[in-house]
Parts: sequence; C-alpha cells; structure tokens
Amino acid sequence: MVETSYYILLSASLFTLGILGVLVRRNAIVVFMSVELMLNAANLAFVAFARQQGNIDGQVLVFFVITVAAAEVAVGLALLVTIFRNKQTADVDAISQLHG
Amino acid sequence: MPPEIVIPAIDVRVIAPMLTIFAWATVLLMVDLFMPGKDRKLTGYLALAGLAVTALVTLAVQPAPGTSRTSFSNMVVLDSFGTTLTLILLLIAAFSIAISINYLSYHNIEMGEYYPLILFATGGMILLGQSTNLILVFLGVELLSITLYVLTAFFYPRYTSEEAGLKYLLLGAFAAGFLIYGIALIYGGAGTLDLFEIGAFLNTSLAVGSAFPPGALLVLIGGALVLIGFCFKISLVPFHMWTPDVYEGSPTPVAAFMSVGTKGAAFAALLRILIVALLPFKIYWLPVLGVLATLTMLFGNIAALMQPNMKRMLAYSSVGHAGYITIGIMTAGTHGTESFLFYLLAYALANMGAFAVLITLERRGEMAWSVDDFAGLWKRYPLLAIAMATFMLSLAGVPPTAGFFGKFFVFAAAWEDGQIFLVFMGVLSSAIAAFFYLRVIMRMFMDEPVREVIPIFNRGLTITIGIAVVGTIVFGLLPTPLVSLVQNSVIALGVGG
Amino acid sequence: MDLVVQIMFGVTGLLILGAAFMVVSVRNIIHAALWLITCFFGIAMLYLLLQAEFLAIVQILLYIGAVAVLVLFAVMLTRQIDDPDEPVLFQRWRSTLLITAILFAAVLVPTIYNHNWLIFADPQPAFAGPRELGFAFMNAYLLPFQIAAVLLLAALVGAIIIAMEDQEQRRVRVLTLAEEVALRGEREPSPPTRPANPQPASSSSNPTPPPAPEQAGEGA
Repeated sequence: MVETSYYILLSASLFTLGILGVLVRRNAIVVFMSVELMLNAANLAFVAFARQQGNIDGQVLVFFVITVAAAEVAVGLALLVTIFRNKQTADVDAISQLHG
Repeated sequence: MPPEIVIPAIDVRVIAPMLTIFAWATVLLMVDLFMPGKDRKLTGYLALAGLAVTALVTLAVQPAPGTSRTSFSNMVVLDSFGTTLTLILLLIAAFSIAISINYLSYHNIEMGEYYPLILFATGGMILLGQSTNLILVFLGVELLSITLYVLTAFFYPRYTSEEAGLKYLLLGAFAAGFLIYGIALIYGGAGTLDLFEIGAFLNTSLAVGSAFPPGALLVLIGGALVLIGFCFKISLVPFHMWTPDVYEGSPTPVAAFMSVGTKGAAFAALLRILIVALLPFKIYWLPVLGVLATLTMLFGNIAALMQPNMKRMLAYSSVGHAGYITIGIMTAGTHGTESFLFYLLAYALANMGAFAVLITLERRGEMAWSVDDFAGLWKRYPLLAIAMATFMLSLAGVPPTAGFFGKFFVFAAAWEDGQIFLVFMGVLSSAIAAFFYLRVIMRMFMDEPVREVIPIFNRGLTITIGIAVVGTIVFGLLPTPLVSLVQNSVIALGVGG
Repeated sequence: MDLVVQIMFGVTGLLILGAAFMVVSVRNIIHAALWLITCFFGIAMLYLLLQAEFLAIVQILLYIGAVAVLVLFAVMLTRQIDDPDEPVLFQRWRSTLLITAILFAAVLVPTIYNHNWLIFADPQPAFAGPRELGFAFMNAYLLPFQIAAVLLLAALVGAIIIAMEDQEQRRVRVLTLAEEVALRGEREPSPPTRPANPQPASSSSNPTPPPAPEQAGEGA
C-alpha cells in the first residue's frame, strides 16, 4: 500500500518536468510531448485521488482528458506537418514571421 | 448485482440551446458536403439561420427570472445569466459569420467547413456559460480552443496564419495542462467536481476549526492553477503574449470572433467558478485578480499606444479590455455580474464593428492594416469614417456611446465594493487608451489620404456595421432597457429554486 | 506484499521521472518519442498498482498506440530528427529552470508535506471495471460523454482541412508580396520577376510559388 501523497508527489514532479519542457525546448514536437507529460501527470493524480476518495469518478475523468489530448495532438500535428511542408522546419523560433 | 443501465431522467430544455447549435452544425457539415458547385455562401447563410433558430430556442426555454433549472446530474444549469450570455454569444457569432461570407471568397480561402466550425465554437461557448461542473468547463474550453486553433490557421496561403495557429495551439495546450491539473487537485481536495458541492465543502471545512484544513488547501492550490489556465484564455497580462500574434495571423473575422466570444465565455465560466465554488476563498483571489486587472489595463493600453498596425492595436486594446472585464468579475457579489454582461455587449458591438471596418479596408494579398489606411477616410467615405469613429469612441468609453456606460457600470460596481484603487487605475488607463483611439479618429478626419484605399462593401459587412453603430449609440443614449435585462440576469447559486 | 508494492512503486516512479527527464532533454526527437513511450508505460504500471486495470489497458492502447505513434509519424514526416547546428534550448533556459523550481517548491511541496491525507486504514476503492465505467458514462457523465464526441468530431474535421493537400486546385496558393520577399531572402536569390500567370502549386514542396495578382476582381 503506497500512500496517495507519494503518488501526488510523483505526479507533481512529472507535471513540473512537463512545464520545464514546454518552457525550455524549442522544437514544437518536443513541446507537444511535454504537454502530454503534463496531461499524464493530471491523469495520475486523478486515479490516485479516485482510490483515496473511494469512488470511480476520477477514473472516468481520465477518459475525457485522454480524449482531449488525442484531439489536441491530431490538430497540432496536422498544423505542424503543414507548416513543415511549407517551411521545412519544426523549430518554434524559426516560425517567426510574427514578431512578438 | 451490477447496476442496471438506466438513463437518468433528463431535462432537455436545459441543454436545448447547445443541442440545437451542435445538431445544426453537424447537419450543416453533411449538407455542405453534398452541395454542388464551389460557392459556399449558402452554407454561411444556413449557419446564420442556425444561429437564429438557436436564439429562438433559447428564448423559448428561458427560465422565469430568478429561477433556474439543472439537469444531467446537476452538471448544467439554465439560469437567466446563461440565457442572456447565450444571446450575446449568438449575436457575436452571427456578426462573425456575416462578415466572413464574402471575406472568405475574396481572399480565396472559402471552404464550407468554416461555418460549422464557428457553430461548434459557439456551442462550446454556450456550454461554458452554463456548466456547473469542472469537467464540463474543461471540455467546453477545449472544444472552443481546438476549433479556434483550426480557424486561426484557416488562412491557408499565409504562413503567418499557420504559425499563429501553431503558436496558439502550443500555448493553449500548455494552459489546458494547468487547467486540468488544477481540476485534479480540486477533485483530490473536495472529492467532487460539482461547483455547488465544492462551495458547500469549503464552507463546512473552513467553518470547522481555526487550522487550515488540508482538503481546502488542495482546493486552493488547484484553484490557483485553474486561474492560470483561464488567464491564458482571456489573455490577462503576464499570460497575454500570444494575443497580438494570433490576432494578426488569423483571418480578420476569426480574430473578431476570438476577441469577443472567447473572452466572454471564458470570463463567464470563471465568474461561475469564483462565486459558486470558490467564494469562501474570496480573500485570496480578490487581491490576485486586482493585481492582474491593474497590470492588464495598464500594459494592454500602453502597448496599444505604440502600435502602428491596426490589427495589433485592436489586439492589445482587447487585452486592455480584458482588464476592465476582470474588475466586473471581481465585484461579482454585488453588481459585478450585471456590469460584466453590459460591458461584454457594449464591447462586442464596438469591437465587432471595428473589425468589420478593418475588413472593408483589407486588401487581398496584403497584411498591412496600417493606421495610414484610415488617413483621410472622412473625405472619401464619410459614413465609414463616422462608423469607425463611433466604435473608437465606444471602445475609449466616451459618453454618448454604450462603451461609456459599460465602463461606468464596472467602475461603479467596483466603487461600491470599496475597490477605490482599482477604479483609479481603471480611469487612468482609460485616459491612456483614449490617446490611441482618438489618434485613429484624428487621422480619419484631419489628415490627407496617404494612399489610395478602395473599401469593399457587401451586404454582410454593411449590415454588421450598421447594427453595431445603431446598437452602440442607442445603448449609449438609452441604456435603461439593457440595464433592466442584465439586472434580471442572475447567476444560480444553488441547485433548483 | 506491501513491501513488494512499495518497491514496485519506487522503481516505476524513478523510471517515469527518468524517462520524462530524457524526453525534455535529449536532442534526438526520435529518442525523445521513445522515452515518452517508456514514460507512458510506467504510468500504465502505476494504474495497475492503483487498481485501475481497465485504465492501464486504455493508457497503453490510446497513449502508446495512438498518441505516441502519431508523434512518431509527425517526426518522420517532418524529417527533422536531429540538427546539430541548432541549439536545443532557449537562451533563457537557466532562469526558466529556476522559476519552475521555485514554483514547484513554493506551491506543491508544502501542500504535499502538510497534507494530512485522509487515508482510510484499509481503503476499499470502488471496483472500476469496464462495466462500471460504462455505467458512469451512460449515467452521471452522459453530457460530458456527448460533448467529448462533439469535440472529437470538430477536431477531426479541423485536422483534415488543415492537412489536406490541394485538391483540384481548390485553394489556390497565393503569397503576399511581403512573404514572397521574406522567402526569397531565406532561400537562394531568385530573379525578381516571375511569370505573370499564377499557377497553383499542387504540392507545397515548391516554397516560392508565384505571387497573386493583387487586384483581381473576382469575389469582391
């Protein structure tokens, strides 16, 4: 039996690593992966809390997060591939027609 | 014995508006598929018809003043606040489609899917205004955002559009991460995602003893993360950096739609979360929002001051306006809700109108939107110049317009609430803002034309500008009917009743 | 038994954090994607430890089977696996690291240590098999379930219209003058005058399509 707090500590660390990845990496695909880490951290917290609360709501919510993550990834990667077709780069900074 | 699958009793009236708009959008997708020819204007007109039908449905199911209906395990509520907000959002969507119909074909980006996507986004906004459960808030935000990522990237030939879409998406997904992690922590603390139950949980757990209960602490931190997620969506200042780029890159009607619709819906959801669920934490969120509002008003308006690009200027001005709306949110306990709705409508009219004028001057294959294009407009197209001047005055908050009363109500509500400093900062930043709005007017009326500009007029644009001008002036001169409308738009604070 | 679970949790947790750190730090994007898959696997294992068996399977099917593969596809399609000339990080990564660490320490750590987790002596979690979850979807979570369907439809339509190649010259490629100039500056200099007739670029591999006629009268 592992206490919920350890799960939350793990999930919070994962979330922080995700934030770090979004903030420091330049490649858009890696940024996507980091966002996936953040969402997975939230899912882990949901499941751990669901066990602690003794109900299954937390597990149900994970499905919605997975749905949203899949939808976001689909649109994002479509955009990325289109931009690459036009510009041959996936670097966030090189995408700089917009200044600002 | 495993549970029998029984669909619970549901009240379809509660979700009738969004049901109508989602069904219409889905059918429209298919209708568009089998529509012959390349012309997609008919799809646009059908989408407008869908908005009109949704508005009628909304009016048909509206609850009596002061009452509310909930359904779907208390996940959605239909109260008069939601109804009024839905009507405002439908008006915004109708404006956006009206100014899009000819814009798309003129810029060679006409695709039938555009209109159902706008309808989907509008449905997401309506959902945000009605949901009383955090998971629905999350789904509404995501439905709205994912649709807008696509619409932002709709200007296919322009790299800037695709880049704006990607930029918006990366930041939006980042914000969604904060939002869902915050929701997870709230679930961990309170054991529920229902806004009413969270509020009840906080009330009981904070009342028990003097020590800060651990569950409430989790809810507090979760609430902070949710607030960060929302700050990205409504572009409050430390989280606003995507706004000008995304507005500049996206098709102008989409920028108009985003600048008003997203803000309105996200603010409404935030308002519900703050005053239904997190009211016991008012001592914490009030100062935070105050700082954010001050920064937003000052920074947004100062940045707009330096913009020669009209579209970016309107983007920064929308950041500034988010600050004023935040003041309305902060005073939600007293007259904040009313001032929020009034401000939203006044801002929607003026901003949609300003973007419509921008579209008339937008030339194909060009992305300048320079203030220079407005120079000397008065001499050539006096009506257009007068319309633009009306919108600028309303955005600046000068008396005979609706924008003045919007600001007045927001500041009055804040004053009543004892937020003297915020009122002072609001007035100061309005004075800064008046500079750049008046600069546009000066250039239109005083200067000589810089270059030849041929405005494009069509029915959708003319009607939109006309309605926006009339609305701005009428509500500025006779605000009483609107005031009584928004005064009756109260938020349901409990289940049923 | 308890000890076994605790050891498994410790090992899996370290695996997850290590994999996540590799995702955000390796230069090669294929490697990052593979580390991401490792991380997803670790989380699926934790779901098993948390008695969420069905979720563990869904995690593997959806995250590894769909999301991670989609990411790998994107990496392959963009063909930008490793570019040693480009810096991996933003210039300001140190300050970002500091801010993130402070945020983490100030916000999350005190919560977790001060939190009096209301762990029941012998927690009996509601069993969440596919049947119970399906019941929840059809009952309490009916509306979110339907909204999620709408969301998937909107995302599907959106992804298709974004990624769609030009079909039957449906969307004629028009570049603005400024973009044309900017593009030429990046590529090798090309002659300033191009053929006047606008040709739709059927595939976008040609990065400098001809400029559009500025004042073509159609559609006004």
